[in-house]
Amino acid sequence: MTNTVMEVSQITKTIGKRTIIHESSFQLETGKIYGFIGPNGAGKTTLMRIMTGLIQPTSGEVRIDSYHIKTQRQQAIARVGAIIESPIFFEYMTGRQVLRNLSRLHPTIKSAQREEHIEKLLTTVGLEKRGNDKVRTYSLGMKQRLGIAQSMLGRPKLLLLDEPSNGLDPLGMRELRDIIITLRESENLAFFISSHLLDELQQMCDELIIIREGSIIWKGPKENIVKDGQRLEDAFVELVQ
Amino acid sequence: MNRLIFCELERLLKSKLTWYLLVCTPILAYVTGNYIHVFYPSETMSSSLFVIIGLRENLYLPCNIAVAAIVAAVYTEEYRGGQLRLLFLRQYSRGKMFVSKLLVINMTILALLVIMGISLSLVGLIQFQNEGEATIPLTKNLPFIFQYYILAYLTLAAISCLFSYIALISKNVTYMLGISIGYVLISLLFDGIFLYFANFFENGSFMHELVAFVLIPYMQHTGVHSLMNEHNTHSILPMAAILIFYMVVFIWTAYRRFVRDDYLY
Repeated sequence: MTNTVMEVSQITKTIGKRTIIHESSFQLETGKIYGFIGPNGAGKTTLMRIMTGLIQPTSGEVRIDSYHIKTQRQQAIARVGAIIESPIFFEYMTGRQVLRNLSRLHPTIKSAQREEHIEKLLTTVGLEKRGNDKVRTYSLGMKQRLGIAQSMLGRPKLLLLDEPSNGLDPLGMRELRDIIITLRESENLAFFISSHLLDELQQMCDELIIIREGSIIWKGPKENIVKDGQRLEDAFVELVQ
Repeated sequence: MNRLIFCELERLLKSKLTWYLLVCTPILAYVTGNYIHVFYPSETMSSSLFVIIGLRENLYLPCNIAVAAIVAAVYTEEYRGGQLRLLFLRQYSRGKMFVSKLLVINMTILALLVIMGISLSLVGLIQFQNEGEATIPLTKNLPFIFQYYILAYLTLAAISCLFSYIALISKNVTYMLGISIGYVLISLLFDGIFLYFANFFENGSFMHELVAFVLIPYMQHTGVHSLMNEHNTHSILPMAAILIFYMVVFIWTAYRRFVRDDYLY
């Protein structure tokens, strides 16, 4: 029985004459944490936007749990949650109101269970005491955590996080890492995390996917690229230079 | 789809802008009453006439500005601000989201018109109840008032389609409001230009009326009144054609941008 939750097949994205993503393919399995790394401008965010359907690829396809992201969008998107780029919310609403508003767009969440589900999510990300405060009063770390909470509303199988540790202090990064690892253990979620904080990723990830100039140049278990005692940063720099 | 509409309405109602508009509408009605006292002889005014004159005085500028603000809040702010990512990552198609936003804008316009009508009625009953030699009770004039307000709603719905397109091509809310209000002001200040071109055609002909009322604010200022009060029935078809043109063309182009373009924000 396959554990594959997402298949990215031969994705190419061209804008004008420039090829942003070139024939990229990989598969993601449940229960694993994938690190997605590459130099600035390599195409990480573009590829993540394609994986969530925000951008259409020029060619290739994305399937989530075997459902096509474009032609079977409803079934596909139901299985994935994401934070793409910075966590942006409706600043005039409270954290609880944001989650309540977005939860109405998930048919699987029954009205009677809504508040309980929201409360559980806020507790999971450590925002239960700030749920009634306006999002504009949140720190960046709190917004990142609210971002994870909203991405989990639909009980997805896969979470795509685009640079979730950006702007977080060491305590915030530690808390985020703990949340991710706990969710992987308890819910068997798969995570696909892009980040420049390679030491952070090294502590969390099971597998790595490395992109450079729009092409996947390496993918596989972390142990295959990082030798004992070596830092991921050194291995990465060796590979891309 | 109902869930989408409910979500949009919930967000709009949580926004301060909506409440400012709701509070300002009765205030505008009151200010209009004071204005009418100054510029209209009291013997020609009655409470039922005030409901129509009050709308007429506000339709081509304050109402259009309110519609532009609502459209900016529903489209531009979320589209350019990146909040739409939160919605695009849910199970609903972009097409359904676009339609739900459009429906919410039109529901809000309708609600504000109703509130304006009620406010003008109350102000009229207080300030103009015993004035006017041809006083017609408000209740007797209701069918006429209803027709006038329906026409006003159609013009606001059509201009909201144009504003929706402007909302999706504008860099930010400031640009959007600037272009939209600029369109309204140009329509009103430079009416001489398109009336000059309209006069190339026979007065009262289809083409004459089409060119004269091609810009909606001028249609709201002059066309609606001349249709209802002066019974210029030859204006009906040209005005209908213009409204349908705005609704179809601008909504289709806005739809394409919302649904088909890559979302990069």
